[in-house]
Amino acid sequence: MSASLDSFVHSRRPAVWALAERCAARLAGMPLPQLMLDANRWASEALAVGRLLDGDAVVFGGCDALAAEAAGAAVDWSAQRCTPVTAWSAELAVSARWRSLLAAVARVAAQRPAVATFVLLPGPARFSRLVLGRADEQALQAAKPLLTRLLEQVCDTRPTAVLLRKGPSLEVAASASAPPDALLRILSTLRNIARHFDVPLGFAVSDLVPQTRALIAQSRPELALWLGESAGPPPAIEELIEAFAAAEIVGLALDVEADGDMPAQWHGALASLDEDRWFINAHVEVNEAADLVRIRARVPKLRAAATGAPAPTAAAGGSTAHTASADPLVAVRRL
Amino acid sequence: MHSEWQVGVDVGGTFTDLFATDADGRCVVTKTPTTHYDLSVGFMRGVKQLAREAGGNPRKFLSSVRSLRYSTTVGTNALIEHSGPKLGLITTAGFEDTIFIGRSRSWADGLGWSEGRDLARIRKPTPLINRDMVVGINERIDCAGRVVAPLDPDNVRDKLQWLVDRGAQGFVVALLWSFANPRHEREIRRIIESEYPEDYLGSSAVILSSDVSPKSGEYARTMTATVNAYIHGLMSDEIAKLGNELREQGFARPLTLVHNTGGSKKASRTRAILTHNAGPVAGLYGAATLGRATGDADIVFTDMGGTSFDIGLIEEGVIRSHDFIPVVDRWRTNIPAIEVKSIGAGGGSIAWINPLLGNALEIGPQSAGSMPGPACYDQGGEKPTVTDADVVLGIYNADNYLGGQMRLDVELARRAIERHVAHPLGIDVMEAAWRIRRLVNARMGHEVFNEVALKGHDPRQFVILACGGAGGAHACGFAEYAGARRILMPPQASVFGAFGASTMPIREIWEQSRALQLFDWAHHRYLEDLESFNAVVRELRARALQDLRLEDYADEQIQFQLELEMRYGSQYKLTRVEWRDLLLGSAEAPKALCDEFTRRYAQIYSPEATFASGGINIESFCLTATVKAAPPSMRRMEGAAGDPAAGAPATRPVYYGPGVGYRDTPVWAWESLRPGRQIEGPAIIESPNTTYFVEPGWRWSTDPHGIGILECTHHD
Repeated sequence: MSASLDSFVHSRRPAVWALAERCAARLAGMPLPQLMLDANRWASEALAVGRLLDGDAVVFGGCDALAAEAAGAAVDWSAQRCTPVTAWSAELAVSARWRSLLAAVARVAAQRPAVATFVLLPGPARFSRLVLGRADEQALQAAKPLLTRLLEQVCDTRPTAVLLRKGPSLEVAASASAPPDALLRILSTLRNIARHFDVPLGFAVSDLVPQTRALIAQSRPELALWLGESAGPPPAIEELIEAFAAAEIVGLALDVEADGDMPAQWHGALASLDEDRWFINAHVEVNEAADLVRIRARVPKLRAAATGAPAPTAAAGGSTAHTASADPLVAVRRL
Repeated sequence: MHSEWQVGVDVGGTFTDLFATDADGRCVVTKTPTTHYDLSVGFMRGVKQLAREAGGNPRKFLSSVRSLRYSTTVGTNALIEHSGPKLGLITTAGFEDTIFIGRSRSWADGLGWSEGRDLARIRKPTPLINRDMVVGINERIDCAGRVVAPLDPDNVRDKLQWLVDRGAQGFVVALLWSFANPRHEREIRRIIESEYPEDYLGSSAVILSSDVSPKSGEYARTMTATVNAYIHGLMSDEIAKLGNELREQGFARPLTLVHNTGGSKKASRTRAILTHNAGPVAGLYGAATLGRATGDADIVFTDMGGTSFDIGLIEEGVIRSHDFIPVVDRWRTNIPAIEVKSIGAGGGSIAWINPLLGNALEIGPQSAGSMPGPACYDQGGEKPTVTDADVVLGIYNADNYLGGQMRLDVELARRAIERHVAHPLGIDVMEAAWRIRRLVNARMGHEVFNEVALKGHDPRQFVILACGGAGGAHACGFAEYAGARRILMPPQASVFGAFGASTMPIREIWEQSRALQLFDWAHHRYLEDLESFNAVVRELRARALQDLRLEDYADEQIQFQLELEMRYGSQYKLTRVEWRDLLLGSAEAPKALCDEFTRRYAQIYSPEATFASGGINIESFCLTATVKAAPPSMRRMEGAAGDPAAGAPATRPVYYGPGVGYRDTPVWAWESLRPGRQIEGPAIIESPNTTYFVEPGWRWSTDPHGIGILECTHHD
C-alpha cells in the first residue's frame, strides 16, 4: 500500500474526500469546462478545496463526460450532455481537457505525494453507453481498447488510486444491464494494466444495485468506496459490510450530514473488523451552490463523533458569523 | 538468514531479472515486468520477490547482501526519449559543425538493416546539442600535442557567457587533438569553474573529451563526451534515488553498476556512457563462467528476451570481440565496449503483414514490450507476438506462465493472430502461429550464423548457449538455421543477464591514443625508442592504480592486461592485439609484438591478407585493470536416484506444422531432470521462470551443474 493510500485509509476517521470540481471552478471564478482546460489552475484549486474542507484526498475526474470526450464522443458542456460517436475510431481523440486532467493529476501526485490523489473514471458499461450509446457485448469489446488506453494514461500520472464509478449514469439512462462475463474480462484487463503501474484499481459505488453487488463479489476489487445512495435511505451497515466483503479495502461513506448516534454506530460496527481493510469515509459532493462553511463545520463534528471526543466548539469548528459576506465561499476563503 | 548474498539485476526491455547466490552456492531467481515509467519500481518489486524466494523479508535479505550489481537502461532511455539537459559544446573554432556533419554514413548509425536501406526516408537524428549551442574557441594544438595557437581566456569567457545566456545546463569541451595534449581543455574547465563556482546556481557539470575518451577521431570523441554529458545528470538522479530506497530497506553497501566494457564499479565512480547496453555484456561474461564449468571454449552466447535477441562470441575461452565504434542510440562513440549484436527478435516482437513486400509476414523490430505486452498478457495489447504464437501452438502452459505469476489468455492470442496474420494471409490460426515461429527462428539462426562466420569461424564448431526468457523455447529452432549441433541451457537461462552481472569483476579500462610506428618496412626497422611505448603504459597504469586505490583496493589486488589497437600502414580498420608483457622489455620485444599482430590478423582475415610491406603501427593503448577475485563457480547437483528414465510426465498437444499437425508432447518438470537423465525430443520442460522446448531430432541430458545439454541427433 502506498504511503498516501495508507494515510487516507488509516490517518483520520472519517477520511473526508470531496467530489468538488464544480466548487473548484467556483473558487477559480470560471465555469468547470473552462477550468478543465487549465491544468495548473485545476490542480491548485482542487488542492485548495481539499484544504478548505480539511479533507484527506483530492479527487479528479468527477465528470464522466471528460473520459467520453477523450474517446471521441461529442460533449455539450453547457448541458452536460454526451452524444455517442457516429464514426467509430480505435484511436483516442486526446482532447485538450483530457490532457489537462493528466497534467493536473501528475502535478499534484508529484508535488504533493503525501496527499491522496484519486481519479474517477466511468466503469466499462457506463463508458460504453456514453461513447457508443449501448453496452452490449459487442459494444463493450469495441470500447475496451479506448478505456484501457485512458486507464494507462491515468496510471502513468501515478495517482494514489483509480476508481471506476459504478452506479446510474447521470447522462444516459441505463438500458439493458451489461453482461457480467464481458465486464469481468474487461475489469481483469484493466486491473492488469493498473497493477503494472502499481496503482490500485477499485470501484466508487453509488447506488448498490444487485448487478453491482454481483460484480463486487466476482471481481474482488483492491479498493471499494461506497458513496451512498442517490435516493432512498442507505442500507444498514451490516448489509453494506456483507455486500463489500469481497473487496480488499473498503471505505463506507458516512453522510456528512449524519448526526445523532449514526456515526458512533458505524464506527462501533466496524471496530470488530480488520482496520487495515475497513474504514469510514465521508463523501461530499460539493457543487457550485454548496454551503462550504456549513460543510466545513460538520467535518470536525463527524470526527469527534467517530472517536467519542467532545464535539468542537463553534469557534474551533469554524463559523459563519465571522464575515458578513453573502457568498459563503468568500467566507470560507477568509478562514 | 545468515548467508551473504551476491545479487545481479538486469533491466530488459520487457522484464527486470534478478539473480542471487549465497556463499553455499544456493541460487534464487525472479523476474518482474520492467516498469519503464520508473525503473526503480520494478527494481524494488523484484528485490522483494527475490527476498521472498530466499525465504526472508526484504529488509533482512538486503542487509545480508554483500554486493549488488545493476545493469540499467536509464541512460539509454534518456537518449531515446530525448529527455536530457540543454548542453553547450565548446570546440576549436572552425570545427563547430563536426557533430552535425558526422562521419561517412553516420546518418544511418543505430538503424536496423531495413531502415538503413530506406534511403528515401532516412533522416539524420535530432542532434543532442542544438547548433546555436555550439561555440568555437580560438586555439589550436597539433597532432603531436604542440600548442600552435594559445588559448585566449577572454575569448573563452565571451563564448561561455553566450552559452549561459542561452540556457546551457552543462558543458562539453572537445578540442582538436586534446587527447595528445589536454592542457587547453583543462584550462577551459578551470575558467568555467572560476566563473561559475559550485555555490552559484549557474554552476554546471563540465565534461572534457580528453577525460572521457582520450582517443583520436574528433567526431567519435566529441560524441562520446556529449552522450556522456547528456545522460550524466539523469542517471545521477535516478541512481541516487534508487540508492536511497535501497538504504531505507536495509542495503548498507554501495550500489555497483555493470559496464559495457566488461566490468563493474561503484555507481559513484562510473561514467554514465559505460552503462549503455551493459546487460547483454553481463550475459556474455556469465557465458564465459559457464563455459569454464562445461569445458566449452567456443561459445555463441544468445539471449532471446522479450524485446531483442542478443548474440555474443567467446572464442578459445576469451571474450575477444570489441566493437571499435559502438553506436549508442544513433551516435557513434569510441568507448571500448564489448560487442554484443542485437536484433529486434524477442518474445514480444510483433508479427505483422508488410504490404510493401507483397503481404509478406514480418517479425519486429517493433515490440509489445511490458505494456501492453503480448495479447495473451491481457493488458490491452491487440497485436500478435511471438509469445502469442508459442501459447497458441501449445508450447507455453497458459496456466503456469512465470511460475504461475501470470495466466495467459489463449483466446486473446488466437484472436490477435487471426485478425492480424491468419486472415490477411488466408490461412488458419494454427498455421499462422507456426509460420510466426518458423520465421523468427530463421531470422535468429541466420544472424547467429553470420555473426560467427564473419569473424572467421565455422559456426558448426561452436556450441550455442541459449538464454533469455524465450531462449529455451526457440533454441532448437534457431540452432538448426545456424548449423549448430549442440546447445547449452543453464538453469538460470531466463535471468542470465542478472546471473552474468553477479559475476562481473571490478574492472576499468584506460585508453590513450598514441601513434607509434612499430615496424618500418622501408628500412626494415623495428621500434627502437622503447620508452615511447613504455611511458604510455606506465601512465595508464598509474591512473588505474590511483582510481582503484580510491575504491580501497590495494595495488597487489589489481592485475593488468594490455591490448593495442594496431593496423598495417595506410589501413583504416584497427585490429586489437593483446601484449601480455605490458612493457617492451628488450630490443626483441617490438618484433614479438609485430608477430603477435600478424598472427591475430591472419586468424581473422586469413594468412594471405597480411602485408608487412605496409608497415605496422600502433594507434591506441588499452589497459584493463581488474581486481583479482576467485572466479565464480557453479554448484554441482546430485545425480538422479533410481532409474533415470523413470517418472511419467504429463503431456499436452503441441502443433508441429501443417504437415504434421498436433502431437501429444511429454511435459517434464525441470526439477525432475537431475544429472544423468536423458530424454528424447519432442519434449517440453517447464521451470518456474522459463520453458524449454526439445524439438524432434534433439536429445536432452542434464550435466552435473544442472545445465541442460541438447544434442542434435538427426543427420542432414
